[in-house]
Amino acid sequence: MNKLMSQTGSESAWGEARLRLEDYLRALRLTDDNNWREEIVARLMKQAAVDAAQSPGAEPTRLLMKQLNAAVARWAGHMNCSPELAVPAGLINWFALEPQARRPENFLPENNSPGRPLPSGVQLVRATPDLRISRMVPLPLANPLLEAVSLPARIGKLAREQQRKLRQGTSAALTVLPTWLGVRLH
Amino acid sequence: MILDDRNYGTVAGDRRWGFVIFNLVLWWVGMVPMAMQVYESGWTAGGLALLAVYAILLAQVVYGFTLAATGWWLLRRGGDPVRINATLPADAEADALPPTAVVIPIYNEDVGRVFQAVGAMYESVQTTVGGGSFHFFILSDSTDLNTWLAEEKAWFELSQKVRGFGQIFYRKRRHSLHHKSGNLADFCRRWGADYRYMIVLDADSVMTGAALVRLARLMEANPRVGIIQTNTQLVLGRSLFQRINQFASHVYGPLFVAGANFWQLDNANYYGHNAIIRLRPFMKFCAMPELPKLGALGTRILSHDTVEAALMRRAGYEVWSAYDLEGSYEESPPHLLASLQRDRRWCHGNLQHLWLLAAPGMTVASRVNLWLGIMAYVGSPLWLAFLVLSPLLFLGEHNFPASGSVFVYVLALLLVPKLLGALHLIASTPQLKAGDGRWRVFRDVLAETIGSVILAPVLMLFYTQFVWASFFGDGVAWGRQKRTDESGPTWSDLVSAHLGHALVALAAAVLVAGIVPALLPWLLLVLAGPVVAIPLSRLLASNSLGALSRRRGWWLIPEETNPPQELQQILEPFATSPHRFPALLAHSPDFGFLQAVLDPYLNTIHVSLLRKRSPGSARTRNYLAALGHRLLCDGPRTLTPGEKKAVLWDAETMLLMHQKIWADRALEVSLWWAAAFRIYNQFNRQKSVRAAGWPADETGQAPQFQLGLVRDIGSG
Repeated sequence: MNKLMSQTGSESAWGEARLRLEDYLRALRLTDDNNWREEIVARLMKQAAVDAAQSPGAEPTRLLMKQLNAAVARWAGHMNCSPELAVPAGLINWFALEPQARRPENFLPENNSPGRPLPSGVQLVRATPDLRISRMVPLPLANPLLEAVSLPARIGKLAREQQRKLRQGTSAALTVLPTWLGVRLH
Repeated sequence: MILDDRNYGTVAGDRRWGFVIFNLVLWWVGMVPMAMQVYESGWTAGGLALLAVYAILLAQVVYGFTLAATGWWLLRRGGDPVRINATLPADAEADALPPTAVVIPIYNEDVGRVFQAVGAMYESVQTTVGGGSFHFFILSDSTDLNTWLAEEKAWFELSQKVRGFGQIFYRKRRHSLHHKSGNLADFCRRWGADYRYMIVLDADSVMTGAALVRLARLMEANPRVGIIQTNTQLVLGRSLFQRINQFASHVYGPLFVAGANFWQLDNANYYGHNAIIRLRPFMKFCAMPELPKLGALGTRILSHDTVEAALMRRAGYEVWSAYDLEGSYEESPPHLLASLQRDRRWCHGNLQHLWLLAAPGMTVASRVNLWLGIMAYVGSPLWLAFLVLSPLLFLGEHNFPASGSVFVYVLALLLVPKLLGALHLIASTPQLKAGDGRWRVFRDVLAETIGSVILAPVLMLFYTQFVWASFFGDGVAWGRQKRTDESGPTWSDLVSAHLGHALVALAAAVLVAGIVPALLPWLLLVLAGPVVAIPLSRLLASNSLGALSRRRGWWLIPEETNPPQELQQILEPFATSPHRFPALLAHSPDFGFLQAVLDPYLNTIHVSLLRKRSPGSARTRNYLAALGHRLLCDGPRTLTPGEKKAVLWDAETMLLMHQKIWADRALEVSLWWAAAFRIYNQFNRQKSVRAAGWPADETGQAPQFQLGLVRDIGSG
């Protein structure tokens, strides 16, 4: 692994990337177990090193984060979520696991095929149920008081509309009239 | 149906006519001396105006008295035989529960309080019936971004703690259209078809699992019932104001609601929360109509609940009050100013009902309910008019005997309900009969009565202003309701609220003392309240006085001496995982943003709760990408609140920014983000070291050399 790394980036760049990954995993609250976290870091470093050999010049931090996201997306692959948001979907379902189910072999299993059963205790996290759209529209009150009150407003609206039409008509007439007159004069 | 159709019509008719006649007799008794006095003064125009105002006010006072007296009489007889809560068949417990949604609309509320209550109710339902058919929906309209993010975290961690995923839901509306009624209508349109019933709660409501389940069973047993409203008990009061209010609601409330049930029966009112609603007719018949835009009163109806009850009744469904159902609670505002802030909105909403009084198809009882809601506020300017007119018209003639008899009669109508409340409490609580229990009740009622007499004119002046503002002002803003206030109102708030009234009252006292000195002792009853309102309002808002009164055994209610499990649970702080930022960062105005972008845990929760963006136009995508770039490279201060909101609503931008800030070392982020990122990681490393048990000497704050940067971020 060290050999691969030395081919793809400086030792300090990999060291910084490792530190960043450790920070991220700590902030992620993936687990409180330091050994567990170390194990994940080591496995992701290994996968990133292989990746680095295939894409020379790639920045180590980016490679490591890509590996982490890929691992989470694989975990989320069991949950039929959209690929664009597979990472948050995978993570939130991981957070929702019972503490005893949060084991390294569940997060980064050796066999990570889509057919692999989910660990027991997984509760699929959904903020809302599926939509079932219905109609809810106000019925007319046909209230004489409301009718009377809204009459001035309705008359005003009608008057404004007529005024607008008149303006439009006048402006059209003013546009057409010279042309028409011109034609007539000719 | 409580009685069969044939009997019900007779019983309802008899009761309503009896109630009206009783009211009319009492009203007539009070009208005669006043009419005599006007007659003796020669039927002047002023006298007739005064008589008209008095007639309306007396009707209102008589109605209150009749409610309390009827309620007391019914409760003394062991309760009303015609009540919805008595309709459950003995074998109802065996029936499967219908799908029921418990909905809690929230708007910039205390997040811990809301979610603690949801947790308590969820667990209570689980204990009662094993849950299953009850789903809880927190329907957020919060506009504060920090509150929004806190709500998401609280929802996730509560669901995790009580294993409530799939039964506790959270929905944040993108556009808070039409306030609370719009929020509920949005729920109905999205998920209403999945549920038979909806139990509506306020952000400060709590109900026991037993009460929630019983409401659903009562609806099942009565298929013609559209709404059942419970009688909510005020609880968890801390300030003196809250404690006295909850004592009053405990002592007098049962009488009034039992009395109201006597005549309302299947035409009760709905108060907007702590009630169950049959969803299908609600969605079909109770959508809020739009009012014509005329003056300040127009457009959307603010007090939607009474209208919904009237519309439900118009559609042929019954509306009942389960006034004797226990386990339904809410909190009262912490002080007078907060209560008045709420009243301002209620006043405006109730006055909008004026347009609906003539709506065709509504029952007479629904119109009476609408009218009573209007009079609750319009009564105040009428009282003020009466107080100003009566001395001007009569006291020059020194006709005291008739004025005295009217005064005593009205006072008796106002005070006897309080006495009846105390008598009922003593009679129905065996513990109070022993020792000095009964004297304590009388002492507390007397003290509460003195307080309410002093406060009544203060409220009258405010309500008069509210009525004026509703008709001629600029409308009313929909603000966050103040439910808790540790420090109480400031002196400047109190002075600006009460000083005008105090000066008017002092001027009136000086005027009366100069013109009719004999009247001054009578008017002192009215003028004393506004004069002392500033210090009184401050004292009532005091939590320490509230605690002292509780320790001394004043205004105690059973929920204080023996609180149910659900209330005990709410008193405990809501435990969420602590955030992983130094305390100073938490004071940043952009703290919510900081967390949602930087913290992987919170970013995950936030992004997971957002809907996937529909493939919008290239323009939208470019706009959001540009905002994200500006946010990272120039810092959040360069974005307007609207732009921040746009970014927070877009899952892909939020995810992209989060990944960029963690994985893209080449990205030149602003100093704000660079500092926040460094401090955040430093802090978490130290926490991790402490968690591993290694020696550490930090104080939980960022290291000294970074404090300057922290302060920079903290100040936004």
